[in-house]
Amino acid sequence: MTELLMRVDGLEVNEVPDGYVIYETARDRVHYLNKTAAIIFELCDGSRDAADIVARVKLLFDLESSADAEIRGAIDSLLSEGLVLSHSN
Amino acid sequence: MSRRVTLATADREAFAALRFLECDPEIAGPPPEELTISIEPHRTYYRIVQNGELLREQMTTKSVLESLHAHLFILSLADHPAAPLVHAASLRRGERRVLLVGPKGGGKTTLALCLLQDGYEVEGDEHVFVTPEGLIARPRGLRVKESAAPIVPGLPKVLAAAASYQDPHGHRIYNLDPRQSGAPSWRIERGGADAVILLRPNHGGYSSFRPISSLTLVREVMAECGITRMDRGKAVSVVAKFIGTAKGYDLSLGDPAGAVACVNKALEGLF
Repeated sequence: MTELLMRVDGLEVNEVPDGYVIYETARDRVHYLNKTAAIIFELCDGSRDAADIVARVKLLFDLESSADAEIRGAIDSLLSEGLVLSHSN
Repeated sequence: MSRRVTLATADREAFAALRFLECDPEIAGPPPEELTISIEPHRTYYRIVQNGELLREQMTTKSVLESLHAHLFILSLADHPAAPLVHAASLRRGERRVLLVGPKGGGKTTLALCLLQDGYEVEGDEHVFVTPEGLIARPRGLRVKESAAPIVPGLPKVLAAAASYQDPHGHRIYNLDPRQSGAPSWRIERGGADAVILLRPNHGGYSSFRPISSLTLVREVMAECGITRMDRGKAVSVVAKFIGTAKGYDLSLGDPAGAVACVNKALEGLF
């Protein structure tokens, strides 16, 4: 079974030159995502799991394996902030 | 703006007090609706009458002034009901617009006056509405504190002729039309911002500035925004939209000449 990641509904996403400013309607909260976090957020489209997203971000930015933990940390932040949720495939 | 308010009174004392609210910029756009508010002495108090209807009754000219000050602010909010209102001075140089963002007492007016002497046009010194169609300064005279007088060359002479008000803390505040301070005109237009500068008071020190990211800029501008909870999502969206087209800077506001040089550099960096 795979845990796929997807963006939650009810977010108002605003793009600025350095990333995303997201307004979360349900909790009346504003989130600020830098460029990397914004890319990770975009990759959470319901068709990929965390390992796939980590691999893609590493490829995109030409990163070493040592970056895995940092990218996973960013995914965890998106999950804990309620911007992304996981569902079993 | 959707309305132009005329304050009318035959009472000399009330007239002198109301000069603090005087403000007559040229505003781009369609002709405004005319609204007259009369201040009528009645027995031992004043009646404030708007379009023939009694609005309020006040005992003193000072309370008339304070009451109208609040009323005019509310009328201006009604012109842009869903727009966030940012604590910012708005200035133009040629086709470029710069916003100086900061809290009350952060140095916006003093820096705006210094920039005015350097050739900038001041649109407003305190509030800017952020609408989906662009930014527009709230029409209001510049509110100059006595403490600005030694900083801006020639200002004491200009203030001597300006209407003033003593705030509850005993500080005298002057109402200044930018034209009194040497501006050839006073025009307010709707449009975008090319540079947004956050002011960090560094009184007594030197001025310096640095670029900041658009994310930081949105966060800081949101902190200086007045919005209702109902409009928060829309406010975030319009603020992000205007920040997206502007360069952001953080200005440590110390010596005035250095601060003017920093703002000039910030605008030069756009070319």
